Parts: sequence; structure tokens; C-alpha cells
Amino acid sequence: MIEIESLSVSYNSHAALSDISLRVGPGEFVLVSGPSGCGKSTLALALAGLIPQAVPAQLSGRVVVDGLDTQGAPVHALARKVGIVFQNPATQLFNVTVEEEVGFAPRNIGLSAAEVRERVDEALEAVGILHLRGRKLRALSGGEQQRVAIASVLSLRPGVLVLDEPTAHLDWRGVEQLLAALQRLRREHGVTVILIEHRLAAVASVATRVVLMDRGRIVADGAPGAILSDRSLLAMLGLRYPWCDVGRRVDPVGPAPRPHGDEPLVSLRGVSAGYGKHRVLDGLDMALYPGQFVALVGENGAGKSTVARVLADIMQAERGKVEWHPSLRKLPVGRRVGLLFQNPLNQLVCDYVEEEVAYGPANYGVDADLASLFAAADLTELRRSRTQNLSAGQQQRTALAAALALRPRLLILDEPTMGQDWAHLSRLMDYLTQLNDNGQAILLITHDDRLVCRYARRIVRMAAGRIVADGAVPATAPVVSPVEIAHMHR
Amino acid sequence: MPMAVGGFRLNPISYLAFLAWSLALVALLPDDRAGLLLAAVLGVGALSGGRGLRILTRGRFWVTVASIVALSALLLGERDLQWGFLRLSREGFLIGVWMSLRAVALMLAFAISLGVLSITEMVRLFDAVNLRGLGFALGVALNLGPVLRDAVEAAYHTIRLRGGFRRPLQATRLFLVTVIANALRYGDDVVKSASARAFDLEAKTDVAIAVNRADVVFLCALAAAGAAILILA
Amino acid sequence: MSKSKWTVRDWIYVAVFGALWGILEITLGSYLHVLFPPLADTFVVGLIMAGIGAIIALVGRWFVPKRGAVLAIGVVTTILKAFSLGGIVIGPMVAILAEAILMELALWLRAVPTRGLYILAGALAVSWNFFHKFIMMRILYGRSIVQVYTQMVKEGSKVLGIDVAYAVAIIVILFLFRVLVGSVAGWIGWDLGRLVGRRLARG
Repeated sequence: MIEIESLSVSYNSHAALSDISLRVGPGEFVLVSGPSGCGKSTLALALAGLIPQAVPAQLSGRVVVDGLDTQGAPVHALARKVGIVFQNPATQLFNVTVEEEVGFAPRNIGLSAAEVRERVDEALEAVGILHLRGRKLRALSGGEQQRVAIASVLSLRPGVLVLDEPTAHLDWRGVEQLLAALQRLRREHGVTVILIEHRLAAVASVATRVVLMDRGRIVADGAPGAILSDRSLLAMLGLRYPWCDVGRRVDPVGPAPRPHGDEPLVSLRGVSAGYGKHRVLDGLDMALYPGQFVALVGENGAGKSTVARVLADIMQAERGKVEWHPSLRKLPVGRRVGLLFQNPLNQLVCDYVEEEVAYGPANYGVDADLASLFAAADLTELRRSRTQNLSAGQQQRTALAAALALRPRLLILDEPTMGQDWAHLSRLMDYLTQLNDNGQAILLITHDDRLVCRYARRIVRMAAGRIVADGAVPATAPVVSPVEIAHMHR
Repeated sequence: MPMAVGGFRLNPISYLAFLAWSLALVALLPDDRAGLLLAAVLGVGALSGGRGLRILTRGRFWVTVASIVALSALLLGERDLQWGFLRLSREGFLIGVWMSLRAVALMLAFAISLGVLSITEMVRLFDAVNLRGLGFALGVALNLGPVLRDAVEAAYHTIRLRGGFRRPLQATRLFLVTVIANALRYGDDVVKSASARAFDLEAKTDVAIAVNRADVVFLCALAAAGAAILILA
Repeated sequence: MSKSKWTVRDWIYVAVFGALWGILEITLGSYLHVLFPPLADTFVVGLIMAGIGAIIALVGRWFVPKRGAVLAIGVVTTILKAFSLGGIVIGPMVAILAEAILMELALWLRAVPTRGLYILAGALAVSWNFFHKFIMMRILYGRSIVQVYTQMVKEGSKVLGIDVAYAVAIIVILFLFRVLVGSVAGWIGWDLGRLVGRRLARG
């Protein structure tokens, strides 16, 4: 089905793939993983023929998909052989309704209205979203939008489906739905699936084959059981060992510790807040204490990000009060709260790393030990680098260092796991643990229960704008076996 | 809800023709005959399900209209009417009323004809008149909107939290550069997606400007009504 | 527009700037109310927001170096705005479209615009802000509205005890102020395009 021979790709003489050779047979479900920057996305683009035809890069070697050479065949012909789905659904949607979106590609290749309708039905059915046919795309959840994106490439009936980190923006429910759809595609329609993913735990039990990459080369290729059990290999690549994952839900046990006293840093009392008529927080009561490492968890829509916005004074509480400790009330909000949004690139406002980190202190006229900050955030060698040239992990650390330069009393991280590989994430979290050991209060908003167990000391669970559980993180997390993980995804 | 005539729905072309018809009549009719146009527009509005008539429920709309009538009564013509301590002009008042009727007719015509259209129909119209790229751009802009809004908000609050407001000119520059650069990066991602879905600007699509029997009937009725109004005027 | 020379990337960038124009008017509008509270809700803030639209469209022209790009951006913004306002409101739609047309006319003068043309484009776009109200009123209310406004100026001058010529002078000054703001917007649009290009450059 897919034959890759001695494929090398470089961007402006920077090598992204080096001499890759790979064969994928029909109906396989191949999980491709590796650390950030190892060339996974480049491989995906080369498979779809987007390199070199739509993305400027230098390519040597050969990629043949279902008999078509990706370098010679026009992109619209390749689209009928291999469909590609990217991370962010918003950049893959060009229409207003689901039906129009899924019919977009068949219309592009000149099919009749009747044929387009047939293809749309087929594609929607294949991913289990026929019921969403007439819906507006903007009204759908992230998971639903991602399945629409899959359906929209399936409508060309490709034999191969390549997905580049499609779960990055999804919560667990969205991931489950997506994987179920992919399994159905493989079993019922014989589609070959190539899935690029960091979240090995989610995918490990559904893949039939695993390919691991590092620095543009394939370093392992085989059955999931064998490859993903090699802890030393996974550790070397900075990948999370998937078989020792925790269950999806961690519940608090007992009261959470207050390492620096009982006077809260900040209290939310009866806070209600929302967007227009849609109330997200409903009479919320919550207090954060100095030196605590708090994980704020809950499903999408529970109100976690809204809590962060209220604390950072981005959103006003419609009812209730936000009360800071008296010693902090006179401080500007940026010196009380450091906030890291989900996409670090949106928070990098300067051209260079050094400028970025020094920006806040310069504005407030405060001293900041930038050298120590750079060292602690592992940015010393990158201080003169352009922010736009950093990897996702480096961007995250730069944004974090910039927030920390103001020594905020409370640091809030909103879903820092998005798009991060485990190696970078571990480093980030270890750094946060260090800060917390030195008294920094941290509020971590996350879906990732493993992160919660390993780093947080207090867990606050939200649902429908209220707190439903609040207490200490259990010392030993429940361990789930591979059989149980597979059962979860059935 | 698009108007149905004899069980057939009107297509966008009818509504756009109605808008052009309204603009033409406004230009041709003497001001004191604006009531005739308004009656016709209200009729079309009612038959279209009344959605375009929602503008009539806005208080601000009526305040503007009332102020024009009041100003005309105060400023135009001879002040031959005493109203409390105010001296008003009958002639001015009438001129104000005709002006207002004309304005209401025009605003309603816009609201009705464009209010019934959806973005989907706009995109199809652009496709039909060979402006495929513009229709595509509209769809992309609609879907990118929320992502760009989040990016704008994140940049804005980042600068705010880092005290950037203390140097407003620098903050504005950094904000705009950040937001535009990141938006273009999203745009580059869209390019990849569009290429992967075989989007070809040059490809011919079988989209034509839809015209059915109801449209023909409606357009004929418009022509007749226009002629009648002009004769009556 | 010579559509055969336009690429998919060009149209996508038109979409990006079309979306940004509307979003930034709202965001920066509230930012300016925070920054300049004494001037909040005055014509200064309204004028600056008109300038913002011009800046975005002109930066868009930098990245879509094709004749017609600014007009296309304006059309996208107009349509998006119409569907986001919760109802068709002619005023803002006409304003955006008129500004886009005027900028396009200025930029059409050369295939490769210069800073001077950007300044001209900005000046034309924001000066529309001065005429917009009058033109909209003329279209909506007809000829008689001109008489109403003329009488207002005369009566106002009488009440305030100033010569009508001074009133005209004030009007001219207000117009020139808009031209100045627009020129600055054009200048900024040129520089901003360069700065964004620099931010995106790799290496």
C-alpha cells in the first residue's frame, strides 16, 4: 500500500528526515511516535504529497502510495489515495455546515450532486456522525469537529488515512470517540491508518504496529507489545510508558495540605461568571493557599478555564467576590497571577527569547534574576534565539519564564500538556515542582490524571460550574493493566 | 425564513433583485411618495416571515427617525405651528415624515434582502459568478474566527498582565505584530488542509445561479409593482 | 481581480485579514476605552478604530501582493460583520466596504505600492469616516436632509454667536484631522507589514 524508499527531507538545509525506508500493508494501523522535532509531521506531509508540492522543502527518495508516486502525481489525485487530518480542526474547516464540509472535496474533483450526496452519507456513516449532517460546524464540540475533518477526507475514499496528532485538542471522551471511529474504518472499510501521536496510552492497544522515530530516522518498528514495553527505549526517546497508566479519574482523599499556613492567597466566594447568557460558574466557592500545588480537573465545559480567567481578572464575576490576601491587594494583577494559556505561541510577543523574559520586569520596573531564570528553564543557550524558531516545548518554557520573571504569587497553567511530548512535559513539570518546593503556589488545569497523581498535592474536581470534590491527591495512584486499558477503548 | 410562492422557495437572486429594485425606486420616486415604497417593502417583509422586520423593534432606530422629524419641523420652512413653547413648521414636519418613510423603507429593504441570505448562499453565489476564491475565503474566515479571537485575547491579556499598558505605543505594536504573525501561521495550516482536500481554484464546479418558477413570478411581480408605483407617483 | 494569478494561499490570507479586521476593531476598541478613559466614547476613539481597520487591510496587502486584495479583504469583513451583528445594519457594512474601495483605488495606482501610496490609502480610508454619516443620511433620507444640516449649521452659528465661516473652518479642521489620522494609519500599515515579515522570518 505504502512504500517509502530512502526518503530524506530538509527545510532550508535543516534535515528533518534522513534516509527513511518503510513499507505499510493494507489494513494496518500504524502508530508513529517520537520526541518533538523527530520528523513525524514531515513524514505525514511527505506521505500525503504535500511535501514538496504544497510545503516548500527539499525531498529525495521515493514515496509511493497505492501505486502513485507522490512527487509526480498532482495533489488532487493523491488526495484520492491518502487523506490527511491535522491537529487543529479549525484550520481544516472551510464551510458552514457538516454536509457542506464533507462534500467539499468531492465537489472539488467535479463529482455530480448525486455522487457528492452519496459520498457524504458514506463518510459520515463511517465515522459515526450521520446525525450531525445538517449541523453548523461552529456548534460542534472539538471531538465532533475532528471527526468531521476525518469524514471530509474520507469522502474522497482514500485507502490510507494519515492523522497528525488529532487528539491534541481533545479530552478523553473525544479521544475515545475518535479511536472508535478509526477502528471502525479499519475493520469495516479496510482503511490503512497511520496515526502520529504522543498519547501512547490512548492508542497503544488499538495499533497493530508501532514505528518510533528520533532525529529524522526510524529507530524501532514492530508490534506494540514488544516496542512499547521497552522502557529504556521509551525513556531514551522521552516517551511515556503507556502500560502503567492510571485510570481516567483520580479522586481526592482527605484534606489537602497547606504548607504555608491557613490564610488563603485568594478566595472565590459565591462566584458566578459566564459569557453573555451562558453561565459557566455557578456560586463557586474555592480558596487557594500559599505553596499549594493544585490540579483543577473536570470535563470540557466544567468551568476550569473560566476560573483561571476570573483569577487573572480577564473576566469579571457577575456575582460573588474574588478576595486576595490583604498583602497582595495593592499589587497589579500581573504580579499576583502568572497565567499560561494553552497555546504558548499566542503569548510570545517579542522577537527574541531574552526580550520576552525581560519584558514584564522592564514594564513594572522590577529587578529579575534573568540568568537564574534562563538556567532553571533550560533556556540559557536559547536566550538569543528568535521566539518563532523555538519548538513547542521551548516556547512553553519561554512563556513560563516570562510569567515567572514577575514572581507572581499564583501561577496558573491552562492545559500545558497540549502538543507536548512526555520528555518536555516532564522537564516542565519537574521545574514547576522545584518552584513549588520553594513556595510557589500553582494551579494546574489539566485532563491528564497521570500528571495530577505525579505532581499535584491537591485535586479540585469541577462539574457544571461547581466544585464536586476537593482534597489531597492519593499517595498511590490506581494502576490499570493493558487489558483494562484495551477494554476502556472498546 | 425565505419566502415561498406557490410552494416554491425564493432563491437569493430574488432577494438581491428586490434590494436593487428598492434602491432604484428610492432614486426615482419623489420624496413624498416614499409611503408607497414602504408599503411594498413591508409586504415583502411580511411574506418573508418577518425576520427582516426585526429592525422595527429597535428603540435606537425610532429615536433616529424621530429626531429627523423633529429637526425638520424645527429647521425647515416657516414656523406656523405652536406646540407648547416650541414654534414648529408644518411644512418641515411633513418633509421630515417623508424623509423618515424613505429611510425606513430603505433600511427594511436591506434588512429583508440580506437578512434572509445565509453565508452558505453567499458562498454559492460567489461560486456561481466565478469568484470561487472569495467564497472559499469567506468560509475559511468564518471557521478561523474563533481561533483568531482566542489568539487575540491571549496576546492582549499577556501584554496586560506583563504591564505592557504602561508603554501603550510599544504594547500596541507588539500586540499587532504578534496577532498578525500568528494569524498567518494559522493561515499556513489552512493552506496544507485545503491542498489535502484537492481544492483547486481553477476547477469548474456545477454551481449555477439558482432560478425557479417562484423567482420568475416574484421578479415579474416586482417589475409590475415598480411600474405601478412610478405611475401612481 | 486577475483571478487566474491568485493562489489558494492568497485567498486564505484574505480570509485571515478579513477575520482579523472585525475582531481587532472590537478588541482594540475596548482596549482604547481602558487606555484613554477621558476620551472614551468620543470621536477620537471612533477615529482610531477606523484607522485600525485601515492598518489591518494594508498589512494584508503586504502579504497578498495582488491588486484587489484590499477590496477582497473588505468584502470578507463586511459579510462577516453583517452575520455577526445579529441583524443587518447598513452603516458599518457601508463604512467597511467604502474604506476598502478607497484604499484599493489608491493602491491600484502602482502594481508595487510604495509607502507614499500606503499613506494615501490610509488617508482616503479614514477620511471616509468624515463623509460617512452625511452620505449615509443622504442615501437614507434624501435631498432634504442636506437642507436640514445646512440650517443646523446656520442656527448653531447664530445661537453660539459665531460666523458661519468659522463653523465651516471647524468642519474643515475635523476633516483634515481625519486625513492626518489616516495618513498615520497608512504609515503604520507599511511598517507593520515589514515587522510582521521579520517576526515570521526563519533563521
